[in-house]
Amino acid sequence: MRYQYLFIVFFLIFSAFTVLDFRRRRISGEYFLAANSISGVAITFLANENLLIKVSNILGITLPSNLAMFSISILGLVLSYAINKELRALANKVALLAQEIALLKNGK
Amino acid sequence: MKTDSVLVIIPAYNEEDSLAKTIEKVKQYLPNTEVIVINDGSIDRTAEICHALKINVLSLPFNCGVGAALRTGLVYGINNKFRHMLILDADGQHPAKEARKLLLKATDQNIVLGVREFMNYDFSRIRRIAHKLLIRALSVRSNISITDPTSGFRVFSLIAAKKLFSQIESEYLADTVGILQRAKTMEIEVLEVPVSMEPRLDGVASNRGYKLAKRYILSLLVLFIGRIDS
Repeated sequence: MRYQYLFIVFFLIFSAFTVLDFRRRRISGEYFLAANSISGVAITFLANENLLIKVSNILGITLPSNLAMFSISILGLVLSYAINKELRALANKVALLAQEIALLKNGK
Repeated sequence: MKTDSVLVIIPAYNEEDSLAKTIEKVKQYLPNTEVIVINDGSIDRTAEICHALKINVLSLPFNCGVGAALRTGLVYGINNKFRHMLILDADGQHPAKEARKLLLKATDQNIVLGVREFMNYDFSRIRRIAHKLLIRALSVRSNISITDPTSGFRVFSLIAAKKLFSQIESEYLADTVGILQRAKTMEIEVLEVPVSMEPRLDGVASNRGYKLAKRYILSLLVLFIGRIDS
């Protein structure tokens, strides 16, 4: 079995999990869209070997694997940045709520 | 200084070993003050000790950090219109007998900071360097000249607390260094009073080693590139 098929199976299973979790409202719509778009693009490139080579040539990148690595790094950074921003905002809200709970429980 | 308009705020996180002794000292040296312990999600007997000593306690449902605990205490003080709010560490490092020096300098507008002379304390070489860097950064970035910017031994006036409480974040020394920066932008006077501090009564500090180094590094970053909203 060629390695591409293993990755395609991985991305398909991953997408199936995101669908299940999205249906149960465990992940946000934005994350669902982002993850499945990335999976879709990855599967397209994995299924068409020449496509990655062609795109690399167009962009002037000698090794197609470099293009893949750069793209993954950029996507990973953007995604983690967005998630971190969201987490920070949530943490601030949670701390404020905790403060209100403490004050309300005390009654003053 | 009348002490019946003073609220003593003691943020505590897992301080069962030293809290009772700290409260005893406060009752001894500041007898007419109201004491409130902010139990920052402790998983030990911190809250039980407060109940046993009949001390008012505000319990955060989980550990939110010292900034959030301080903010909770200040909101309590503001809601109950205390003229001054004295912040003491639960580990006994801030001696209640020294608090009077701070209260004597407190006005209706300012913040009074109890500062230690670092040369007299047994701090590691790295901590001394980090501390000096922090002082220098505060001076360069915000034109603030403070001997001990990380001191948590402070008195807030009601007016200063009202202006500052909503700005206190939960991390990166925001409860100490961050407050000084914001006080400067809001033109709140910060007075320094030299005090002697004591070693921890018991237990270990929650911020030490790698965690403390991380806090200093992040504080320096925040000092230099952070935006200060007034």
